[in-house]
Amino acid sequence: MGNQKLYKGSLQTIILKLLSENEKMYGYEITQKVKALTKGELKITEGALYPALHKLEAEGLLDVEVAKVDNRLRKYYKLTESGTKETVNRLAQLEEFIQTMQHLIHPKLT
Amino acid sequence: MKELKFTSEEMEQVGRYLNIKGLVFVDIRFEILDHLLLDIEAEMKSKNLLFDIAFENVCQKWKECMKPTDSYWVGKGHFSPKIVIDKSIQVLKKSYLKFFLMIVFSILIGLAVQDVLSSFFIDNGLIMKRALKGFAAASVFIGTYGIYRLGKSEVKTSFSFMYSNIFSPFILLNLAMINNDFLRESQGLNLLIIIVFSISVPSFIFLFSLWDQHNKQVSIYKKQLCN
Repeated sequence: MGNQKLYKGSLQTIILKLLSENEKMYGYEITQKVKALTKGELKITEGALYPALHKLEAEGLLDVEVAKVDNRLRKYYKLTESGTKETVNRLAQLEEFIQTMQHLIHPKLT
Repeated sequence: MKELKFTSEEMEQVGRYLNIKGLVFVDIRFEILDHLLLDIEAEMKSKNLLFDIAFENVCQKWKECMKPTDSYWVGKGHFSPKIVIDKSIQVLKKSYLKFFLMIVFSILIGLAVQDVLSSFFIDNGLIMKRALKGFAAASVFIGTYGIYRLGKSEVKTSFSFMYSNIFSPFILLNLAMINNDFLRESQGLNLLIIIVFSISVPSFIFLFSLWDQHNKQVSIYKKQLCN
Protein backbone atom coordinates (compact mmCIF):
# COMPACT_ATOMS: atom_id res chain seq x y z
CA MET A 1 0.00 0.00 0.00
CA GLY A 2 1.34 3.43 -0.98
CA ASN A 3 1.78 6.38 1.32
CA GLN A 4 -1.77 7.55 2.12
CA LYS A 5 -0.48 10.99 3.16
CA LEU A 6 0.50 11.71 -0.44
CA TYR A 7 -3.11 11.28 -1.55
CA LYS A 8 -4.59 13.38 1.26
CA GLY A 9 -4.32 16.73 -0.49
CA SER A 10 -6.07 15.36 -3.58
CA LEU A 11 -9.03 13.75 -1.84
CA GLN A 12 -11.52 16.51 -2.70
CA THR A 13 -10.46 16.44 -6.35
CA ILE A 14 -10.84 12.66 -6.43
CA ILE A 15 -14.39 12.97 -5.06
CA LEU A 16 -15.28 15.70 -7.56
CA LYS A 17 -13.87 13.64 -10.44
CA LEU A 18 -15.89 10.56 -9.41
CA LEU A 19 -19.06 12.61 -9.13
CA SER A 20 -18.46 14.15 -12.54
CA GLU A 21 -18.47 10.63 -14.00
CA ASN A 22 -21.44 9.38 -11.99
CA GLU A 23 -24.66 11.32 -11.65
CA LYS A 24 -24.85 10.76 -7.88
CA MET A 25 -22.99 8.69 -5.30
CA TYR A 26 -23.23 7.89 -1.59
CA GLY A 27 -20.35 7.81 0.91
CA TYR A 28 -19.75 4.05 1.04
CA GLU A 29 -19.99 3.83 -2.76
CA ILE A 30 -17.23 6.46 -3.12
CA THR A 31 -14.86 4.50 -0.84
CA GLN A 32 -15.51 1.27 -2.75
CA LYS A 33 -15.13 2.91 -6.16
CA VAL A 34 -11.77 4.44 -5.19
CA LYS A 35 -10.61 1.11 -3.76
CA ALA A 36 -11.61 -0.71 -6.97
CA LEU A 37 -10.12 1.87 -9.36
CA THR A 38 -6.78 1.90 -7.53
CA LYS A 39 -6.82 -1.89 -7.02
CA GLY A 40 -6.78 -1.41 -3.26
CA GLU A 41 -3.83 1.00 -3.34
CA LEU A 42 -5.89 3.89 -1.97
CA LYS A 43 -8.33 3.30 0.85
CA ILE A 44 -10.34 6.34 1.89
CA THR A 45 -11.13 6.24 5.60
CA GLU A 46 -14.42 7.47 7.01
CA GLY A 47 -12.52 10.05 9.05
CA ALA A 48 -11.22 11.62 5.83
CA LEU A 49 -14.20 11.05 3.52
CA TYR A 50 -17.00 12.75 5.45
CA PRO A 51 -15.15 15.97 6.39
CA ALA A 52 -14.20 16.27 2.69
CA LEU A 53 -17.79 15.69 1.53
CA HIS A 54 -19.18 18.10 4.13
CA LYS A 55 -16.63 20.75 3.17
CA LEU A 56 -17.55 20.48 -0.51
CA GLU A 57 -21.23 20.65 0.45
CA ALA A 58 -20.64 23.76 2.64
CA GLU A 59 -18.80 25.39 -0.26
CA GLY A 60 -21.84 24.84 -2.47
CA LEU A 61 -20.01 22.46 -4.82
CA LEU A 62 -22.19 19.48 -3.88
CA ASP A 63 -25.90 19.07 -3.53
CA VAL A 64 -27.60 16.29 -1.57
CA GLU A 65 -30.52 14.02 -2.28
CA VAL A 66 -32.04 11.52 0.14
CA ALA A 67 -33.76 8.31 -0.92
CA LYS A 68 -35.23 5.36 0.94
CA VAL A 69 -33.29 2.15 0.22
CA ASP A 70 -33.87 -1.16 2.03
CA ASN A 71 -35.93 0.45 4.77
CA ARG A 72 -33.28 3.06 5.56
CA LEU A 73 -32.30 6.47 4.25
CA ARG A 74 -29.39 6.89 1.87
CA LYS A 75 -27.77 10.28 1.26
CA TYR A 76 -26.55 10.84 -2.28
CA TYR A 77 -24.13 13.57 -3.32
CA LYS A 78 -24.14 15.19 -6.74
CA LEU A 79 -22.30 18.08 -8.34
CA THR A 80 -23.89 21.51 -8.46
CA GLU A 81 -23.32 23.79 -11.44
CA SER A 82 -20.41 25.53 -9.69
CA GLY A 83 -19.16 22.08 -8.60
CA THR A 84 -18.94 21.01 -12.25
CA LYS A 85 -16.88 24.12 -13.11
CA GLU A 86 -14.68 23.67 -10.04
CA THR A 87 -13.98 20.04 -10.99
CA VAL A 88 -12.47 21.19 -14.29
CA ASN A 89 -10.26 23.73 -12.46
CA ARG A 90 -9.10 21.32 -9.79
CA LEU A 91 -8.33 18.55 -12.29
CA ALA A 92 -6.24 21.00 -14.30
CA GLN A 93 -4.39 21.99 -11.12
CA LEU A 94 -3.82 18.34 -10.22
CA GLU A 95 -2.47 17.54 -13.69
CA GLU A 96 -0.14 20.51 -13.49
CA PHE A 97 1.04 19.28 -10.09
CA ILE A 98 1.66 15.77 -11.43
CA GLN A 99 3.65 17.19 -14.36
CA THR A 100 5.75 19.35 -12.02
CA MET A 101 6.47 16.32 -9.86
CA GLN A 102 7.45 14.35 -12.97
CA HIS A 103 9.94 17.08 -13.90
CA LEU A 104 11.38 16.99 -10.40
CA ILE A 105 11.64 13.23 -10.19
CA HIS A 106 12.78 12.61 -13.76
CA PRO A 107 14.60 15.77 -14.84
CA LYS A 108 15.50 15.88 -18.53
CA LEU A 109 19.10 16.97 -18.73
CA THR A 110 19.79 19.27 -21.68
CA MET B 1 -22.90 -7.31 -4.69
CA LYS B 2 -26.34 -8.32 -3.43
CA GLU B 3 -27.22 -6.51 -0.21
CA LEU B 4 -28.11 -8.44 2.92
CA LYS B 5 -31.43 -7.78 4.60
CA PHE B 6 -30.91 -6.78 8.19
CA THR B 7 -33.57 -7.61 10.78
CA SER B 8 -35.27 -4.72 12.56
CA GLU B 9 -33.50 -5.78 15.82
CA GLU B 10 -30.11 -5.55 14.12
CA MET B 11 -30.91 -2.13 12.71
CA GLU B 12 -32.15 -0.99 16.11
CA GLN B 13 -28.90 -2.21 17.65
CA VAL B 14 -26.89 -0.02 15.27
CA GLY B 15 -29.30 2.87 15.96
CA ARG B 16 -28.77 2.44 19.72
CA TYR B 17 -25.00 2.58 19.18
CA LEU B 18 -25.41 5.92 17.39
CA ASN B 19 -27.66 7.20 20.20
CA ILE B 20 -25.05 6.28 22.82
CA LYS B 21 -22.40 8.08 20.80
CA GLY B 22 -24.68 11.16 20.58
CA LEU B 23 -25.05 11.02 16.80
CA VAL B 24 -28.64 12.24 16.77
CA PHE B 25 -28.40 14.87 14.02
CA VAL B 26 -30.40 13.63 11.03
CA ASP B 27 -28.23 15.23 8.34
CA ILE B 28 -25.28 13.10 9.52
CA ARG B 29 -26.93 10.21 11.36
CA PHE B 30 -28.72 8.60 8.42
CA GLU B 31 -25.71 8.60 6.11
CA ILE B 32 -23.52 7.13 8.85
CA LEU B 33 -26.16 4.52 9.73
CA ASP B 34 -26.27 3.49 6.07
CA HIS B 35 -22.45 3.37 5.87
CA LEU B 36 -22.20 1.32 9.09
CA LEU B 37 -24.75 -1.22 7.81
CA LEU B 38 -22.91 -1.53 4.49
CA ASP B 39 -19.62 -1.99 6.37
CA ILE B 40 -21.18 -4.67 8.60
CA GLU B 41 -22.59 -6.41 5.54
CA ALA B 42 -19.18 -6.41 3.80
CA GLU B 43 -17.53 -7.72 6.98
CA MET B 44 -20.11 -10.52 7.34
CA LYS B 45 -19.72 -11.58 3.70
CA SER B 46 -15.96 -11.34 3.32
CA LYS B 47 -15.06 -12.98 6.64
CA ASN B 48 -18.18 -15.11 7.03
CA LEU B 49 -18.96 -13.57 10.42
CA LEU B 50 -22.11 -13.35 12.51
CA PHE B 51 -23.77 -9.93 12.81
CA ASP B 52 -22.61 -9.27 16.40
CA ILE B 53 -18.94 -9.90 15.65
CA ALA B 54 -19.03 -7.94 12.39
CA PHE B 55 -20.74 -5.06 14.22
CA GLU B 56 -18.05 -5.12 16.92
CA ASN B 57 -15.30 -4.95 14.26
CA VAL B 58 -17.01 -2.07 12.46
CA CYS B 59 -17.43 -0.15 15.75
CA GLN B 60 -13.66 -0.42 16.26
CA LYS B 61 -13.11 0.98 12.76
CA TRP B 62 -15.40 3.96 13.44
CA LYS B 63 -14.08 4.60 16.97
CA GLU B 64 -12.07 7.68 15.98
CA CYS B 65 -15.00 9.36 14.12
CA MET B 66 -17.31 8.80 17.10
CA LYS B 67 -14.92 10.12 19.75
CA PRO B 68 -16.49 12.95 21.82
CA THR B 69 -14.76 16.14 20.72
CA ASP B 70 -15.08 19.88 21.22
CA SER B 71 -13.53 22.84 19.46
CA TYR B 72 -13.00 26.57 19.87
CA TRP B 73 -14.73 27.07 16.51
CA VAL B 74 -17.94 25.45 17.76
CA GLY B 75 -17.69 26.45 21.41
CA LYS B 76 -15.40 24.90 24.00
CA GLY B 77 -17.24 22.43 26.23
CA HIS B 78 -19.91 21.58 23.64
CA PHE B 79 -18.98 17.95 23.04
CA SER B 80 -20.26 15.89 20.12
CA PRO B 81 -18.88 13.02 17.98
CA LYS B 82 -15.81 14.13 16.00
CA ILE B 83 -17.67 13.72 12.70
CA VAL B 84 -20.27 16.32 13.84
CA ILE B 85 -17.63 18.74 15.11
CA ASP B 86 -15.69 18.41 11.84
CA LYS B 87 -18.81 19.28 9.82
CA SER B 88 -19.68 22.18 12.14
CA ILE B 89 -16.16 23.59 11.75
CA GLN B 90 -16.46 23.44 7.94
CA VAL B 91 -19.77 25.33 8.04
CA LEU B 92 -18.81 27.81 10.76
CA LYS B 93 -15.39 28.73 9.33
CA LYS B 94 -17.12 29.97 6.18
CA SER B 95 -19.89 31.71 8.15
CA TYR B 96 -17.44 33.41 10.54
CA LEU B 97 -15.56 34.86 7.60
CA LYS B 98 -18.80 36.27 6.12
CA PHE B 99 -19.79 37.52 9.60
CA PHE B 100 -16.45 39.28 10.07
CA LEU B 101 -16.61 40.91 6.61
CA MET B 102 -20.17 42.09 7.29
CA ILE B 103 -19.05 43.70 10.57
CA VAL B 104 -16.13 45.50 8.89
CA PHE B 105 -18.39 46.64 6.04
CA SER B 106 -21.09 47.89 8.45
CA ILE B 107 -18.54 49.82 10.54
CA LEU B 108 -17.13 51.45 7.41
CA ILE B 109 -20.61 52.48 6.23
CA GLY B 110 -21.43 53.73 9.74
CA LEU B 111 -18.28 55.86 9.79
CA ALA B 112 -19.02 57.20 6.30
CA VAL B 113 -22.49 58.41 7.28
CA GLN B 114 -21.60 59.36 10.88
CA ASP B 115 -21.42 63.11 10.25
CA VAL B 116 -24.58 63.18 8.13
CA LEU B 117 -26.66 61.19 10.63
CA SER B 118 -25.20 62.66 13.81
CA SER B 119 -27.43 65.73 13.89
CA PHE B 120 -30.45 63.50 13.12
CA PHE B 121 -29.51 61.32 16.12
CA ILE B 122 -29.21 64.41 18.35
CA ASP B 123 -32.59 65.77 17.17
CA ASN B 124 -34.31 62.42 17.57
CA GLY B 125 -32.24 61.01 20.45
CA LEU B 126 -35.05 59.37 22.36
CA ILE B 127 -36.65 57.79 19.28
CA MET B 128 -33.31 56.40 18.06
CA LYS B 129 -32.50 55.06 21.52
CA ARG B 130 -35.82 53.24 21.62
CA ALA B 131 -35.41 51.96 18.06
CA LEU B 132 -31.95 50.48 18.75
CA LYS B 133 -33.03 48.93 22.03
CA GLY B 134 -36.21 47.69 20.37
CA PHE B 135 -34.11 45.93 17.73
CA ALA B 136 -32.03 44.27 20.47
CA ALA B 137 -35.18 43.22 22.37
CA ALA B 138 -36.73 41.79 19.19
CA SER B 139 -33.48 39.88 18.50
CA VAL B 140 -33.55 38.39 22.01
CA PHE B 141 -37.20 37.41 21.60
CA ILE B 142 -36.76 35.85 18.13
CA GLY B 143 -33.50 34.10 19.13
CA THR B 144 -35.08 32.68 22.30
CA TYR B 145 -38.17 31.56 20.39
CA GLY B 146 -35.83 29.76 17.97
CA ILE B 147 -34.01 27.91 20.75
CA TYR B 148 -37.37 27.01 22.35
CA ARG B 149 -38.63 25.56 19.05
CA LEU B 150 -35.41 23.62 18.50
CA GLY B 151 -35.54 22.27 22.05
CA LYS B 152 -39.11 21.03 21.55
CA SER B 153 -38.42 19.54 18.11
CA GLU B 154 -37.66 15.83 17.97
CA VAL B 155 -35.59 16.31 14.82
CA LYS B 156 -32.09 17.64 15.45
CA THR B 157 -29.58 18.63 12.80
CA SER B 158 -25.95 19.71 12.96
CA PHE B 159 -27.28 23.23 12.27
CA SER B 160 -29.51 23.15 15.36
CA PHE B 161 -26.42 22.05 17.30
CA MET B 162 -24.50 25.08 15.95
CA TYR B 163 -27.47 27.39 16.67
CA SER B 164 -27.56 26.24 20.32
CA ASN B 165 -23.84 26.89 20.70
CA ILE B 166 -23.93 30.35 19.14
CA PHE B 167 -27.11 31.31 21.04
CA SER B 168 -25.48 32.28 24.39
CA PRO B 169 -23.02 34.91 23.06
CA PHE B 170 -25.78 36.26 20.79
CA ILE B 171 -28.18 36.77 23.71
CA LEU B 172 -25.47 38.28 25.91
CA LEU B 173 -24.61 40.82 23.21
CA ASN B 174 -28.23 41.89 22.78
CA LEU B 175 -28.89 42.02 26.53
CA ALA B 176 -25.84 44.27 26.86
CA MET B 177 -27.37 46.49 24.17
CA ILE B 178 -30.64 46.72 26.08
CA ASN B 179 -29.07 47.40 29.48
CA ASN B 180 -26.24 49.75 28.56
CA ASP B 181 -26.98 53.39 28.16
CA PHE B 182 -24.65 53.68 25.18
CA LEU B 183 -26.73 56.28 23.36
CA ARG B 184 -26.17 59.71 24.83
CA GLU B 185 -28.53 62.16 23.23
CA SER B 186 -25.92 64.93 23.14
CA GLN B 187 -23.27 62.80 21.38
CA GLY B 188 -25.27 61.92 18.28
CA LEU B 189 -24.16 58.85 16.34
CA ASN B 190 -21.05 57.88 18.31
CA LEU B 191 -18.51 55.17 17.49
CA LEU B 192 -19.84 52.82 20.19
CA ILE B 193 -23.31 52.77 18.61
CA ILE B 194 -21.78 52.08 15.19
CA ILE B 195 -19.70 49.18 16.54
CA VAL B 196 -22.46 47.64 18.65
CA PHE B 197 -24.99 47.87 15.84
CA SER B 198 -22.46 46.59 13.28
CA ILE B 199 -22.03 43.43 15.38
CA SER B 200 -25.67 43.03 16.35
CA VAL B 201 -27.24 43.01 12.85
CA PRO B 202 -24.77 40.52 11.25
CA SER B 203 -25.03 38.24 14.31
CA PHE B 204 -28.80 38.17 13.87
CA ILE B 205 -28.38 37.29 10.16
CA PHE B 206 -25.80 34.63 11.13
CA LEU B 207 -28.15 33.00 13.64
CA PHE B 208 -31.07 33.17 11.22
CA SER B 209 -29.03 31.47 8.47
CA LEU B 210 -28.36 28.52 10.83
CA TRP B 211 -32.09 28.33 11.60
CA ASP B 212 -32.88 28.41 7.89
CA GLN B 213 -30.33 25.66 7.08
CA HIS B 214 -31.76 23.54 9.91
CA ASN B 215 -35.27 23.83 8.47
CA LYS B 216 -34.05 22.95 4.97
CA GLN B 217 -32.36 19.78 6.28
CA VAL B 218 -35.45 18.83 8.29
CA SER B 219 -37.70 19.18 5.23
CA ILE B 220 -35.35 16.97 3.13
CA TYR B 221 -35.47 14.14 5.69
CA LYS B 222 -39.10 14.52 6.75
CA LYS B 223 -40.21 14.09 3.15
CA GLN B 224 -38.47 10.70 3.01
CA LEU B 225 -39.43 9.58 6.52
CA CYS B 226 -43.10 10.24 5.80
CA ASN B 227 -43.03 8.12 2.61
